[in-house]
Amino acid sequence: MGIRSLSSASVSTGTKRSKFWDQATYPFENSWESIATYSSGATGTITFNSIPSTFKYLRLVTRLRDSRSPVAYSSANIYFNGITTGYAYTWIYSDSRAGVFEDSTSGTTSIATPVPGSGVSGANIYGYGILDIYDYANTTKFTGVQGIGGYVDPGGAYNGGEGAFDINGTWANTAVVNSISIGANIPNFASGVRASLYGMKG
Amino acid sequence: MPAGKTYTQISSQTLTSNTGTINIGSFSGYTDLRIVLTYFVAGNGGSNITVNSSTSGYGEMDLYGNPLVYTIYYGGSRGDIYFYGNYEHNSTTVPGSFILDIPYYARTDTNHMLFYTRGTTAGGSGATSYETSVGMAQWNNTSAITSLQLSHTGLFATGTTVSVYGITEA
Repeated sequence: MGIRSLSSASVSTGTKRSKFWDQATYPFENSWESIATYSSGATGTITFNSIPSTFKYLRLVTRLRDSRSPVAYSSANIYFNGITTGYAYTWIYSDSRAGVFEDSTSGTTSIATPVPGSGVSGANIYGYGILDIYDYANTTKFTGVQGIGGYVDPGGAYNGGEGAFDINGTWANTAVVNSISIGANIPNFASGVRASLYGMKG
Repeated sequence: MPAGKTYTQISSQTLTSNTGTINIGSFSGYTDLRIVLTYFVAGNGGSNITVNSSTSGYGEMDLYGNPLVYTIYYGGSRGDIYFYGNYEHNSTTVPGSFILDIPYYARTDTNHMLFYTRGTTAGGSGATSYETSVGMAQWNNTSAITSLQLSHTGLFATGTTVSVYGITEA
């Protein structure tokens, strides 16, 4: 957000001028556009195709659960354009038992986001994630990902939940991202999963 | 393919006097919610959130840091959501910022998750009044979220602004 065309009148009256924030309206109001939603039943992979390249960046909101047996740090796998090479990610991670730490992986097949498996205590407990995808349409820069995700499960069989407070990832590819896939680990996502894709105007 | 613009302001209120609680409601009809709070604080204290006036079923994890310490907080079974920090943010002039995202808040088939970032550089009474935190909370209840209550034992001060935005999926 920059400040330009700033006049004394705009300050005294609180009127919004271009990208000047008057503190009454949030600067990104009406700058989001809903692209598509997945809301069908259990599946191994959720894919959004034909993503327009007209946005500044994308936001992916997920509600996921798979049928994996209890393991530490179960995750779903996010990859672009059907390609499973060239990814790296790092995250600040925690669960109720192990404290907090950082984990980094490079040269991998996807970018991970936390997902609860069958070790959670309730049938209706799902993990949530919010991921922003930057420079997805920029052919001179790699695509970057930043977000947060996790779940809390006090009665669960494993760790009481897990969270990734700061997921950062890179896809070392300058291709325009026109599809996003979210793959389950083992073997499918549960019914009730949902994913929503938004485009953000800059 | 895009279904149209979204991110709609539902409400905005600015406090004209100090208060311990801010109630938020009347936000039905959207997919996700975003709460943007710019706050001032009248005295030392902690802040909490409850959903639908419920006093059970919460769990949370928070990552917190100030110039003296960084830590992880885990609350397994709580009666409210304790958004970590701000015990010494005691300023009526330097704001704190708080952004809360609630995906799929109206769904009735799964738990609910809330994600937040917050921070302040209020200074004031001690080094811990410079702080930042990020966290997530879960409300293990399948009821649609219809109301939120933000509380601060030190009182939210005059000038605190809370705005509510709705996001609609395709």
